[in-house]
Amino acid sequence: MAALTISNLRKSFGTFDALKDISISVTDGEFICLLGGSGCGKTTILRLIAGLETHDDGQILLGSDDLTAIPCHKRNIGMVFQSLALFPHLNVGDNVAYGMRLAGFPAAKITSEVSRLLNLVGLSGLMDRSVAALSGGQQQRVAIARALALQPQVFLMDEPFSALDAALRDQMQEEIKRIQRDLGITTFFVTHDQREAMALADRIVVMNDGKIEQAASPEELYTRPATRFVAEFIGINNIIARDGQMPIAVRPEALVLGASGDGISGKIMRQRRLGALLEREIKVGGQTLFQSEIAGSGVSFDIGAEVMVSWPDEKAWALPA
Amino acid sequence: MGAARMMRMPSYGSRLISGLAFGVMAVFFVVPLIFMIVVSFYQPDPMGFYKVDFVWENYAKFFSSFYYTVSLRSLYSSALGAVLVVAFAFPLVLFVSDLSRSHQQFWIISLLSLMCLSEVIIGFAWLILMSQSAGIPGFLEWIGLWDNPRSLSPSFGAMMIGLVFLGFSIVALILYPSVSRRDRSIEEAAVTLGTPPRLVFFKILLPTFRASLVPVTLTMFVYMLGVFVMPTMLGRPKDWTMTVIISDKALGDANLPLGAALAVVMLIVTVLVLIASAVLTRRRTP
Repeated sequence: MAALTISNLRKSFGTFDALKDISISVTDGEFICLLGGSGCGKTTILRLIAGLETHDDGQILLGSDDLTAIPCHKRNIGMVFQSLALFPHLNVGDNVAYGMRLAGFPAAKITSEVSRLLNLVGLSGLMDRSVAALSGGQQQRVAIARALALQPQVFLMDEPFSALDAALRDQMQEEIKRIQRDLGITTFFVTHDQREAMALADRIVVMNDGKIEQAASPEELYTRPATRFVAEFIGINNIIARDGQMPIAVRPEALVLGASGDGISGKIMRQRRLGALLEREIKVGGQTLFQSEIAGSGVSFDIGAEVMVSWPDEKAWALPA
Repeated sequence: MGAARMMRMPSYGSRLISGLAFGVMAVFFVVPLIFMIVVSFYQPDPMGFYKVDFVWENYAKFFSSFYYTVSLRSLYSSALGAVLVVAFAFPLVLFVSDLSRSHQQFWIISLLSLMCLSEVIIGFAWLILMSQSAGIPGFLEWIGLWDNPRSLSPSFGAMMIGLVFLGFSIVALILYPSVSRRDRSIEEAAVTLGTPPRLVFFKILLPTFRASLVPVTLTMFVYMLGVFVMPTMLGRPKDWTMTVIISDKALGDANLPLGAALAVVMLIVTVLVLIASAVLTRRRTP
């Protein structure tokens, strides 16, 4: 395991600039989530680290080694692909053993390692099973075990849970976090799901249009998004414009409604109850604000009611315009 | 209850289609096959095609060294041709499938164009290309690589080239859909696990596509057993396959019973080879 440093990385596909001067330092054993929409460059970073693409400019250092000078098959980077990319002609055990066999490990060592890895991912006893006979979650685990078999220095995962249903995805998120913590392996995890990133990452790198918008802990990202894009992407959808000043961001749960008092006046356009949560849409001037609270914890209003909207100063922060 | 609901009676439409399919099979395959089997037991008649009888001598002749050797040679040249055509077509299809959309279309149209050519035209084209003065030998002499050129046909090699050319576009077009839709990340995963890129073809692509390549090879094998023009145009008499000999006996010598018996034996041998291949392939599938 080692720290990974990306400096001034650039990559273009024809006239499309996929990565524009990306720099980030990752500490040994850190779990990084690359978060962003389609085409923002997050998968390109992963492929450049793995060596599946060649960069145009910049540097990727693993410890003190320049990864860009090492061909893909010699980098020892474990990668789980979005499609999983299991070898369909090999059974579970042979899939996991593939890299070790190629590296010339002794047969006894391979057998014990395959058992250990399948045990690690909760697939003991399925060594001889065809991969086609496994469920989506089980295939996911085989892909993880296979990628970890050569004890890689860096572990890359490209939206590995995107094809799983919500319950299985939550389960796999917990398992991958446990495995990563147990092995202490430096991990890059690509996702477009901010909830997934929040659940997994030590640090989230939010990307947009080939650039890093913000790299911060989930807590910091949520409480102090650096840009309007980050605020919107992670679900803070109240960006309030102010005359002559920078706009401010306020989370829905920070908005307080009252029948009178300080604040800005608005009108409740819609409200709905989602279990214990009450969500409202309030028209303020030409803008719609979103407010949420625990149902029954505040004053009740009908749809169409005129209200005063306010928020504590410490829960609002200015954003670059 | 659930199982009973699942079992649906076939509709009139599907019954009609099944009946039509059975009828077509009966008219174009079963009836001629039965007729061929019946004729194979008839007595040859030098004055005509056959006399109605029940004799084994037509089958007995198959086990003479000549027909036995020809049948083995047919199996060999068809098997070699089938393997070669797949060995050439598969890498080409892999290459084409990684090209841009417009370049892929160019290749597909080219392959379809090749399929439009008749066996006779292809045979004549290769005959000219392999001729001493006008074709490849003449060109090699012109560039100084061959001092005393001679015609490359008829020969076993020329016949194989003709067979491979004939089957090439068919195999390429059969393989193209599955190859172009393959999950490229499987190859990338192999490289991240330490496979040198030059070995990905042998370690991943070939085994992954074995399930497609084996049936295509067997199909080509059967197809090449029946090819008539290429062996006669590009092969020497000793390279002729059983198809040519059957035609020669049935039409040239007017000995239909012997031709029918040879065809029945070849049919049985072919079916046995296909069954053996299917069993072996199934055993090796994980």
